[in-house]
Amino acid sequence: MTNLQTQSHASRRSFFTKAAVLFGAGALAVKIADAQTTATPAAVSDIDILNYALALEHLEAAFYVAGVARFTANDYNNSNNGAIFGSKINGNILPYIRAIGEHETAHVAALRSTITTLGGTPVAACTYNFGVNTVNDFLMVAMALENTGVMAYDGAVALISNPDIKQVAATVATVEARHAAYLNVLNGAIPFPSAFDTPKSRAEVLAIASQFIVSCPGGGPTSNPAGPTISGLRTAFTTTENDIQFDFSRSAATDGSAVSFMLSQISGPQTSLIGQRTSTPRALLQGGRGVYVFEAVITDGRGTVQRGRTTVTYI
Amino acid sequence: MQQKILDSPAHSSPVRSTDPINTAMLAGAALLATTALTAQTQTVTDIDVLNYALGLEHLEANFYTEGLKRFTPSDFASAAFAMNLGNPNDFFGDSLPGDVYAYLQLIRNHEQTHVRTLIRTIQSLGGTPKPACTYKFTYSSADEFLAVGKVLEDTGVTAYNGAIKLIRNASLVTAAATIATVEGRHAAYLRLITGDSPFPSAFDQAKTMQEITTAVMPFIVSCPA
Repeated sequence: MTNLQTQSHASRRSFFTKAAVLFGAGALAVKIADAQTTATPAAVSDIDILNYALALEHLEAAFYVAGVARFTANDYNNSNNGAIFGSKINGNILPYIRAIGEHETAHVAALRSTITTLGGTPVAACTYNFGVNTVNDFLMVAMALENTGVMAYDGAVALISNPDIKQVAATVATVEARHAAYLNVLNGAIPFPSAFDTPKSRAEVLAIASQFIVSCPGGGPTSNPAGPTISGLRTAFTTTENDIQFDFSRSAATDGSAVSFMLSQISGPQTSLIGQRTSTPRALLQGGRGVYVFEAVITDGRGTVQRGRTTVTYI
Repeated sequence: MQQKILDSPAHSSPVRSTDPINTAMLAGAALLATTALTAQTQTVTDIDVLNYALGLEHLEANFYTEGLKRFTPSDFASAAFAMNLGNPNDFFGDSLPGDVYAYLQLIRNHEQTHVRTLIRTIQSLGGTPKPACTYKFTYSSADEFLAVGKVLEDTGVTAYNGAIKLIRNASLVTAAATIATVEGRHAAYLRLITGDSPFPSAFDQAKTMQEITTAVMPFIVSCPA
C-alpha cells in the first residue's frame, strides 16, 4: 500500500491543528475494525505514526519534568494517595515517579532520532497546562496520561509498516502499561482492569491530549478555540473503498452547547450522501475512481461554525 | 476485542522466511507449538504465532489456577514478601492487604480469558489450537509462587513484544498488543509487591520464539503428541 509522503508532510505541518489533525476516527477506524487482509492497513506513513507517538511522549515528559521539580518526597507521603499505603510503597513514590519521567524522556529521544533517521521532521513540544495544583492532582493526571498512552500505542502498533519499528513500539507500549499499573495502584484503582487493554484511534487519543495543550509552535491552536472542534475529519486520504464512513461523533462544542452536522460535496464525480446531517454520514463514491472533495460543517448551539474539508482519492 | 478477533477473516498469509532470525524463531515455534517444520525455508503463519502465544497462556493459566488452589489469602498476607516490606497491614495500609489474593485471582482470570480467546481465534482461522501441556512449577511458599509469577509475566511481555511483528493480520496485531500491555500490567504489579521496580527499563525487551521456548522449557514436563 502507498506510503503517502505528501499526506505525511501536510499532517506534520498541521499537527495538533484540531480540525486537520484529529482525523482518522471514521474511515481509518472502520478499516482497522474490518480486519484487512494486508499487513499495512491504513494510508498513514510510519513517520506520521511516530510523530503522533512523539507528540504524546513530549506531553508526558513535560508533565513529569514539571512534577518532579515541584513535589518533594514529603509531599507524596502526605498526599491522600500516600496516606492509604504503608511505608514501603510511600517511600518509593518519588524515585518511581522520577524513573517514569526518565522513561518518557528516553522515549522522546528515541522517537526523535528514529523520525530523523527515516527522513522525517520530529514534531516539537507544545506548551501544556495540566491543571495540577496538588500532588493528588498530579498522580491522578499521571494515571490518566499513562493509561491513555497504553491505548494510543495499542491502537497505533498495527498501523506501523516497518517490522522493526513495530517491535520498538510494542516494547514502549508495555512500559507505558507498567507505569499505568503502578499509577492505578497509587490512585486506588485496579492495576489491570481488563483482560484486554483498549486500543484507541489517533482521533480519540488526540481529543484527550488536546485538553492539556495551550499552544504549539507554528501557530497551532489554543486549548480554548472559539468554535466547535471537528473530530474525525482527515485532510486527505487515499482509499480503495467506494463506501466512506465518516464519524464526527466526538466533535465537541467548546462551550458545551449542542452541535449539528452537515456534510456536503464540493467537487468530484457523482456521490450519494447518506445521513449527511448526522454525526456519522456515509459517502458512496458512485462516480468511480477519482478525487472527491467533501466539506464538513459543524455548528454549535451559539451558531459558531467550524468547517473542514477532506480530499478523498479513490483508486 | 474478542469479538473483533473472531470477526477476522479466516486467512493467514504465509510468509516466506529465509533470513537467520526468522529461521531461529521457527525453530522455537517447532518446539513450543510442536509444528512440523523442516529445513531452511519455512513459513510462519498467524496461526503459528497464535499457537505460540496460546502455549504461553496455557502455561500461565495453569500456574495461577494451581497456585491459588494451593494457597489461601492468609498465606499471602503472612508471607515474607509482605513482612519484608513491613507489616503486611502497613504495606498497603489499611485498605489493601486482602487485595493481593483478589488481584492474583484477577490475573488468573485474565490468563484463562486469553487462552479461551486464542483458542477461538485459532479455530476461526481454520487452525488447530494446541492443547495444554503438563507443567511443573517449583515453589513451596506464597513467596516462591510470586517469584515464579513475576518471571512468567516478564517473560510473557518479552514474548508478545517479539511476536507482534510476525503477525500479518492487522486486527490480530492490535489484539496481541492489547494482551501484551495487560501482561505488562501484571508484571509491574507482581514486581511492585515483591519489592522490585515495576518498570526497570524505558524499553521492555522483545525476545524470539527460540529464546522464549528455552526460557519456559524448565516448566514443561510433557506435551500431548
